[in-house]
Amino acid sequence: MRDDEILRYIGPPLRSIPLGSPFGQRYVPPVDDIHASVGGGPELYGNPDAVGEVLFEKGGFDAAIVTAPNRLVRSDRRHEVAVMRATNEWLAASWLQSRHGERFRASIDVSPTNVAAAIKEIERWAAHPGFVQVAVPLQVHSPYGEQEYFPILEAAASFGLPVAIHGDGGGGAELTPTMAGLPTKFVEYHTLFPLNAMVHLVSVITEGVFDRLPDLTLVLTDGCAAVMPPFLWRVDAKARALKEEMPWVGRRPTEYLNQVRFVPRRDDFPRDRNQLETMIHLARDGACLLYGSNYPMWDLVDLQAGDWPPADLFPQPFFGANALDTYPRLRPVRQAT
Amino acid sequence: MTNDNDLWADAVERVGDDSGIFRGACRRIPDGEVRRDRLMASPPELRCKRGETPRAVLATMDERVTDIATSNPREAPGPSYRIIVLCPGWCPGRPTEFGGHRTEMPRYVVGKVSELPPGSVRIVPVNNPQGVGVFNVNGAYYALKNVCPHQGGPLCSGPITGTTRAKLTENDAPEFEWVREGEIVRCPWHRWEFDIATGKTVFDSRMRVAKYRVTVDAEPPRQVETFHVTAEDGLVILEA
Amino acid sequence: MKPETDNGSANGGGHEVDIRIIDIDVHFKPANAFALTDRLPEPWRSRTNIHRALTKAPLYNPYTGAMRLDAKPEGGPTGSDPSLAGRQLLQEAGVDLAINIPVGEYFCPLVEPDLNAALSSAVNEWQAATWLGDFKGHTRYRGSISVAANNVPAAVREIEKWAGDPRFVQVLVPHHAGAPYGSPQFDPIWAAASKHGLPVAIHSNVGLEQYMTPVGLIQRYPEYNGIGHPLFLAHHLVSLITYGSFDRFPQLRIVMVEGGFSLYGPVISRLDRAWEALGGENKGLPSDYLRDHVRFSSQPVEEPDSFDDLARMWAWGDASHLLMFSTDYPHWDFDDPARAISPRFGDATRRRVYLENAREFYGLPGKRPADEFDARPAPAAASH
Repeated sequence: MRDDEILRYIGPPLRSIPLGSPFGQRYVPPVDDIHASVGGGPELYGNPDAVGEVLFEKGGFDAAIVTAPNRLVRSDRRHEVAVMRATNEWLAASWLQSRHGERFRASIDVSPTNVAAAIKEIERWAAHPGFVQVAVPLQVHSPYGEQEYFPILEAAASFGLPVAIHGDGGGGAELTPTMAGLPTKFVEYHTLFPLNAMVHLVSVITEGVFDRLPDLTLVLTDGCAAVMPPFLWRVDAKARALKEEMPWVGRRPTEYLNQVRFVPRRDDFPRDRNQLETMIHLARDGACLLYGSNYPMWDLVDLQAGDWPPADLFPQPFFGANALDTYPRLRPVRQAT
Repeated sequence: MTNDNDLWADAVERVGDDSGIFRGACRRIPDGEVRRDRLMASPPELRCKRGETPRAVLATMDERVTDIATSNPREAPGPSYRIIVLCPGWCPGRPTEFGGHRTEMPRYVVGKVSELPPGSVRIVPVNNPQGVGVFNVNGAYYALKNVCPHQGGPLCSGPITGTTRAKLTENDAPEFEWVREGEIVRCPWHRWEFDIATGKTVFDSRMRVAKYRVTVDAEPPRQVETFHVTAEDGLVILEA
Repeated sequence: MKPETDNGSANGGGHEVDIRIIDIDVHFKPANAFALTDRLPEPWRSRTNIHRALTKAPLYNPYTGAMRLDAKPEGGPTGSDPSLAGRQLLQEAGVDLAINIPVGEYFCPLVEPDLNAALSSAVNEWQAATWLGDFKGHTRYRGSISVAANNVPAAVREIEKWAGDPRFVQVLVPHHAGAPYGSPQFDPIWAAASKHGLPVAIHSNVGLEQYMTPVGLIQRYPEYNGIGHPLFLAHHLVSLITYGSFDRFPQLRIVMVEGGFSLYGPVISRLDRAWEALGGENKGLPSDYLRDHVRFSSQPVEEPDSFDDLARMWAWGDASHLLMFSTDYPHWDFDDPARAISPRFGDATRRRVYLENAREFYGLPGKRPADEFDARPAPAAASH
């Protein structure tokens, strides 16, 4: 998108602050940000009409969920709130009212650094049928199971909105993005950064958030589907042995996967067929997986292009039914077609 | 005609637990994965085949038991193990009619009542190489096999403790309540918590550890080493 | 293959027995910190509060502590008594050879580089004198050359000092040293280790680490152990490959200890996919490096309900080549050799994991002299 489209919704003085690149600034891929097949500049992918034509008219998709990227860390909390509000206004006014507005859906952008403001945003936009989930940034100052964020998850669940944790290169906190120190190579950062979503997932489980909010669905939009099972098996064993430390967790950690969804990114599809089948099997035979293209990024996932992975390996619900199940607000799209 | 599950339920009640040598015996048989609650699905050698007399099956069971005893002492069944042969349903009769290498559990004197006060445990070196733990929980006696179903740790030598229960609060993260002090034993290895009275895991599972009967006798049983007893201080007797 | 030893004669009379189980991760310690501080040179030895620095507690522990509760000897900390360790580890568990990894209390890496180097020296001297010496050292135990990751020149000197001693089979670095291990600042350590054919083990330790994760501070041990800690090791592994450490040092071999196993297969698969798209700078795919350069310890073996699921992940991770058995004795989540690895994996895989992978990797013998720990303990069952 063009920055002025969002800045329009921010008043002075905060309007003067640059928004930062949506494609990251410290960790910059050594390839074009946009996938070669997209064939266009920023005016293309920021334009709902153009994107809609690609996805719906040529690509054969029935619906698409748009989530605005995190961009930079914003330590200024008033600015953060302003950007969040402006993003939601812009999504409502542009994508959801575009020529393909019936097929686009959007995520309510919220920032955990101001919980009260986040809840206000959720309450405001929950009534709008075009918003199907709440999106929070991957990198924040505490894992999402912590009590300070609970009201946000509770608000989302009360409106039947899943909560998506998205990384996409941006940040909601100024913390080293990988565990053992600052990564210096893009490939290192790119491989490891999304795995931090596992910390959020285990925190949500062990703090009993899924027990307290049985209607909450967590969506991890940056993958992790393949690494998730062995990580959670470790937690299973420890949670069982140390049950006294978390008596409020009613089920085994892996049993909460029915409240979790993963959008596999291109790197989550191993080149080996057996391994790919294992990934699908361990994600509840594909029930946890949602098809997401990450359009128009360089690591685009396009299962119709005939490259790896082969679309026929995926159970049919992966392409649509899982999303309808996760986002009931998508149903009118199906009825409209 | 009773069905398999009825026979099995009946047998479990008689024996008091579903573990012990039967599980040990099954493990040594090459194919088949044994699950405690589905022993009827265990390899067919352990079942009466149609037309085969129960005694013939029992005879081979005895051999197999002896094999196990010499090949791996850690798994060795003690003299008190009981074997149950379950008929899949076409040989009428109740398990105890043709079941059992021995149908009576040997009885052991654990000690005087005064030696096993509430909150204490004594490990008795009988029944299996790691023995049986006899607990006094608030005046009631329980006995559990001293082998954790997880990886075989010395369960009964672990801490006797309580456990936590979730206390849900109105607007805040859940809290703990400490409950059931003295009713839980925790394996000293991987900390698995077991309800002493039932042998079941505190966490939700179908796993449990074998439990045995404990009684108090005012007089020592016959053929057992004589203890001096008084009217006030009986003997704790373990059947295992 | 059943994890049993031959019954040697009860008093260890002169014959040899086959080695069947090698345990690559055990943790012994001295009876008190003086065993280490007495080995420090001045001015450290007399420095006030020196013992407190050596006993830093970890941030994350189970509420009930980190040790197996039945492994505590009288009058000493858990892991300090050779005869109890021998009985529990060698006799009851049936381990033939164990590699000591000195981490935890008394072995805390220290923030001051010179002191940390001095402590590492003391740790290695202590190992050589006790567990690798008098305590059945030559036949049952091997040691790790502890080095100060925050003092690279001293670390190199320490490696050179012990490299010729066959009782030390690897170099040991902590799980956190301020930067991922692919960073060039650590190159001299890899150079020295690989020059002498010594693998380098990465194992968690308490002292230099930072606990803040990229998404905030984890609250408790189950979450940290399950997710947080393996992410450290995953980062080191990815960095060693992406920074070309294995190309610069073709003889370099790494052991990732106690950080799990099954989760690294998918992590490296992710790296492989990113590699092909981003044009990696060194030769081959990341996964190509694993067989020649990386091994993992098994404990704790994951416990999903479905054996098939575990088998799939072991296949993904190439367990039969990359996995080496460990107990983590005497820690609380110790894996008993008799139960840890399902017989359903089959004799060939179990043999490789329990024995062959470690024997080949560390150049360990196939036989050892029988000793008093070979006698089977008499069954406790007494018939009345």
